Amino acid sequence: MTQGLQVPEELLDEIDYILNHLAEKARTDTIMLADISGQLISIQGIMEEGTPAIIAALAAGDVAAMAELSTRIGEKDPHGSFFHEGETKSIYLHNIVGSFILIVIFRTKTPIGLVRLFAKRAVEQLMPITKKFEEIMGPPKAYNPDEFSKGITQELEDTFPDE
Amino acid sequence: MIEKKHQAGGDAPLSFVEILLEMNREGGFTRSVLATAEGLPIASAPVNSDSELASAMVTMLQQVAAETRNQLGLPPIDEITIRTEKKHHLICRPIKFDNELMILGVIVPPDHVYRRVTNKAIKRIRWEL
Repeated sequence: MTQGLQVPEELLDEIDYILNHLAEKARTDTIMLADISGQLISIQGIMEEGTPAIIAALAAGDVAAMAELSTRIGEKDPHGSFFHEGETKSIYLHNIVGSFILIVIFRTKTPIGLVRLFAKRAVEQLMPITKKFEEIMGPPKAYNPDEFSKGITQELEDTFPDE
Repeated sequence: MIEKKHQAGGDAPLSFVEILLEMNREGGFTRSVLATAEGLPIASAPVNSDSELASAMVTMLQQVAAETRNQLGLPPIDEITIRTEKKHHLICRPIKFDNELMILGVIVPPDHVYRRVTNKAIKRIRWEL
């Protein structure tokens, strides 16, 4: 994997502990934490299909769209969560105070409430880490569709190089 | 970036489903569900039952009971019971933990006791949190 942020080991250990606990309790397949611009910070679990960097970038696009959507329907706080319910796998995305995106991928047979219950707890634990993260890494860059487009093109070129 | 392998569900501690299954077995209950305050299923036993509908229903009962309690100025609710003509009981027990509210819903056949068994299950659910 070529993309991803270089986060200090100490902070990463804290993040990994929280994500690992969530994975165990909610019995999820994959959990990712990305910054709000879609750069991957950490991943826990098994990724059978898909590239984590691309999934993180796409999730950032989704979160940005949902934040805009919720603002347009009169929501004052656009930092929330949403589900995509698939046929075999579902995705839960949570915008953590506009700094992090928690991405939870789980099988549809896993009850939604179980994922939501423990994801909410993980979000509460991750909230104070966002401050530390910003102190070290700087303020979050907003999702930029142009950068996303360049990034995904690069990722696709890396994945499928011309022969 | 650290990438760790995690066996989904493999080494997980005693799950909510197992707690409900054991509670059903001990109490002779036909069905039970654990739901979030929003009516989303957390676990159900038997596993293949329609947990989404059951979760939504027990949460709705809990919300009606909470509203009634507010309006009448009653103390916190410990249990909501529906008794059918054939003496089956639907028991809803709110479980509060930190800022989280969950609801345990159980269908109890006629002439079965349920308090001690549900208390035990609630303790174990809290322990899992």
